[in-house]
Amino acid sequence: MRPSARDVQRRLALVPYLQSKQGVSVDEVAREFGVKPRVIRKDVEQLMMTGVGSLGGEMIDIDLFAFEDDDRIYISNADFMTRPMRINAGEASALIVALRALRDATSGEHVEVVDSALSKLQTAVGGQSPESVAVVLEAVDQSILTTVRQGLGAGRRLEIVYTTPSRDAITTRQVDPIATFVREGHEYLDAWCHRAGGQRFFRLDRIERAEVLDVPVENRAVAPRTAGDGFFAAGDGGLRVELAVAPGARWVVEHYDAEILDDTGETWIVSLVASDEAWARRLALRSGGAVRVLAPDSARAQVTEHARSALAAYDGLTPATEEL
Amino acid sequence: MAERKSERLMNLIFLLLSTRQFLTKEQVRAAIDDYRASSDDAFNRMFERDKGELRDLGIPLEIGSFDPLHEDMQGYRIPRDAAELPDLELTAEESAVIGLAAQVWEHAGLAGQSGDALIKLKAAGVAIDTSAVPLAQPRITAGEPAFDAVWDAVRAHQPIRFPYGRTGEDPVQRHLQPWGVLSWRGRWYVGGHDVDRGEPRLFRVSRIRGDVTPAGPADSYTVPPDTSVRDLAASFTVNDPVGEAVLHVRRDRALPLRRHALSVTELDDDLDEVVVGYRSTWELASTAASFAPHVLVVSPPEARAMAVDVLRASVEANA
Repeated sequence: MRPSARDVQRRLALVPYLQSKQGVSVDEVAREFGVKPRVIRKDVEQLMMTGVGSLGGEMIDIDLFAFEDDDRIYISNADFMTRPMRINAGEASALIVALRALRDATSGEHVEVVDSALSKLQTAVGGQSPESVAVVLEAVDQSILTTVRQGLGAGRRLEIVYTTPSRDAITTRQVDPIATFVREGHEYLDAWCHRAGGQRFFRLDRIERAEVLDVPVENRAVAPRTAGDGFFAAGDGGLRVELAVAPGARWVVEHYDAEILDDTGETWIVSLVASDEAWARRLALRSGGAVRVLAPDSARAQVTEHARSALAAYDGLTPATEEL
Repeated sequence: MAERKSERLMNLIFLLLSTRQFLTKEQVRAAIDDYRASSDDAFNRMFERDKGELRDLGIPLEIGSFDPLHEDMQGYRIPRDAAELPDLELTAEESAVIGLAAQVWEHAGLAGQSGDALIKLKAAGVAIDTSAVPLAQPRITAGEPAFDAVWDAVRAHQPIRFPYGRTGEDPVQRHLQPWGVLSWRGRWYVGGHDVDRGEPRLFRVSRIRGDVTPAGPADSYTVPPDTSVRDLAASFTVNDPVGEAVLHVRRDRALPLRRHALSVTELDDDLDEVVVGYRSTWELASTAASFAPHVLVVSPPEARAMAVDVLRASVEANA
């Protein structure tokens, strides 16, 4: 929507809003409408220039003393518009899709609340239902989700069994839950991890088991963090690796958002941030030679070492054609 | 300039909202300063544009006759019932949920639109306290450059064309009647009728490598009834297993494989026999190789042979 259209939208909403909150301060309106106070001041000044026009002869009236001296807004001559305009199709789509995503990330009693909010909103916008938009979140075991929520709600410590696929490792950890959030289609738990001695993100679909302990969470000055781009879940670090990628494995570039260092030849040289060396090793092993690890050397050495060790094991394996 | 236009639009909306009668074009002109001060031609152009603005804002404009005896005298008004937001009768918890939903989009346009909707609710007297309901906060991002154009085309039922291809491939022009968009694993896809291939297809929005341009008028096709982008996506992403494979897996290793195991049998202190369904020989062989040396393919023989080849190739490439 163009900026001028957004101004009109906001000013139209201000008319009923201000009438229901006579004497409201400019700062409070700015907070509610999510704009700077000077934007609201400009809006109010313009509202005074509008009304039902010269046919009616009536313009919206603002108490100028209160407005200019006390930053408070009293509005009159605006009873031709006491309700806001209907939520339009575009706004409804944006909000309904968001509500559906919220519903997918919700469990237990709150599902009903989201459902009733959705249904009331859909009724109010005239049944416009954006069936053409779907947001799919990764499926999370509902019992794990419920347990994590219980710990969070009751302020209790959790014991979780957590897998780190890149290292193919499984650990049992005691964590003090702080918040849950959803990012890039995955739901995460933000928690203080007693094993790591620090705040960590845990992907809920990687929690194998969870149990609420009879231990209250420790009071610690931790704030829920907003996961920015390029963050890693618990057990993941951040290691820059350089790869030589043959044509058959170019999907790697797009899939992991790798930086292309050299694409002049058939084989591209790319760089990306991996969680650890094990991740790079597994990528190279699965590619069947189409991905060669250039750096770090230790990760490349791991590839050959693990592959040779597996080949030796295949040599010692009973042939597949025989009955085991 | 923008301020003057915004003032004119507001006056037009207030005028047409407050009238019960249909107002003729001349009456509208007489009531609005900008219109009155313009030449006939300029007024006509301005009025047409402003009617378009009302449509874009989602404000309904009713055209009718204000005098049953003179049906040719067309007039305008905004029907109050259709234009005004009805009372939603939201509970505090429902309001909180809608407030949280307005924070879900991390995309300027859609975050703005959900915010605009929230402001209308606040203007209707709905108090929004998002702390009333503790919920996980999903975030939907849409950083793909072509996302906006695709989203608009889906909503307008407008056929589109765009250059499409992966990084490293030459993009090819594609024609699509879009049915819907889907966010899956944090990526956006657009599904619809692929005009070139004559069948339903799903395109990854990040692979649209250039401008999305209209390939026909809006509303020029119909989306088949009961079409769900979710189902469309499922039909492309999930293949049924082609068979069962027997693996030897070290204890407590290859957890992602074990999670989907059909059976797990202990062989000795350190080794399990794990049976899994697989979708393709290559996928099975390369997955097993990725867990080397902790996973060996025992059968089927062709997957086992391929797993050995994959490992040899890795040694050769990285030695």
